[in-house]
Amino acid sequence: MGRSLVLSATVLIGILLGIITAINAFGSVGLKAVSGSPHWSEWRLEQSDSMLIYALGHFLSAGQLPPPKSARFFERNVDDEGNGLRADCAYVLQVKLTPSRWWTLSVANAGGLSPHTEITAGEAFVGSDGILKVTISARPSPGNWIVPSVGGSMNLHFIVNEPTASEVLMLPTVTKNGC
Amino acid sequence: MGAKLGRSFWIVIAVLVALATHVSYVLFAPGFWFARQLNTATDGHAYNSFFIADVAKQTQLLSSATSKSVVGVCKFNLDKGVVELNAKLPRSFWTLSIYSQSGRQVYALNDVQAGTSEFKIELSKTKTFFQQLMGNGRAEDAPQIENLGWHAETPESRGIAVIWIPISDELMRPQIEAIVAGSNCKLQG
Repeated sequence: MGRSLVLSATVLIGILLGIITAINAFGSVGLKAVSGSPHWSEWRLEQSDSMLIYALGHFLSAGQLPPPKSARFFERNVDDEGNGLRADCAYVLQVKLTPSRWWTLSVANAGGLSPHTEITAGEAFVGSDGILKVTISARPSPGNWIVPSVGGSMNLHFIVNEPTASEVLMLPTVTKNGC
Repeated sequence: MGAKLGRSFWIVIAVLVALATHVSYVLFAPGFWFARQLNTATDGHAYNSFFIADVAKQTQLLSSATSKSVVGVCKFNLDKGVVELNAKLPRSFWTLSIYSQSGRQVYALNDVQAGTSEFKIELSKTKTFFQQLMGNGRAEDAPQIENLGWHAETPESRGIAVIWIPISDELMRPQIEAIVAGSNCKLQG
């Protein structure tokens, strides 16, 4: 009786541990740091990547299809000083865009995938020097402006479709501009 | 000593169970959850039919889609044979991705690779090792498959083909949707 109780408890603990570690792994293992852009991470979606299963799991367990093979999906949840992104603060994003067929910059709730608000290549104003500047703020701002529609912590997603392969992909800097 | 050994034994058992659960969950749970979401997102649409997803559903289903895009969907089932997707697309940037029901991308195409805005893609199920051994491979299929366009194989019978077209101006949406609505997805007769 005692032994079967211990066995049941052991198996239950093992199952719980397995599920918890798998769910945690979906949120982090498939991400890789981006060299040159310290706070950005990229989901590893190349077929040859050994962590592909976790990256796919991240999207699929949220009920979403992974991005197409030709797209690169970047994510961050902190500003340039390493503080978490918050919807009640204002941020200025700046980047010299790498040529690509299309890009989308979106704001989602922390840990979430579905973008709530976004700006895309088709509507953004880009300077003649190729520099894109976007303000994320609940208050109106001139130029490119994204209103975070959720409160609390938030994630930034930058999806680039078919970037020019010969160039290093530049990712936006994120500077806090008050709360 | 005996109690220590007993405790180590149970710890090893727990770790082994955790490992087995972890691997099983990673391999099977995402596909299961996604298949459920896919059924919900495409509810009301028959297999082997083409439709344009409404804006709310397209962002739920496709991680790279935003509300500023048009998404055409072919939900296919290859149990009864080859399915053909006849696509009619605008002369702008678009991508076509074919996924199996468990969410694996098995085929990808874009406007530059296609070189045309109207084309046909045939979808069939990957031959099993046994079928290939029995000589029921691609060569024997050739007369049955009308290769006017492209051909994609998927390891699972069911899946989804997704056409994604980003739009730069909301005013263009009706025009683009009208073009894409000319696409169809059906069992090859």
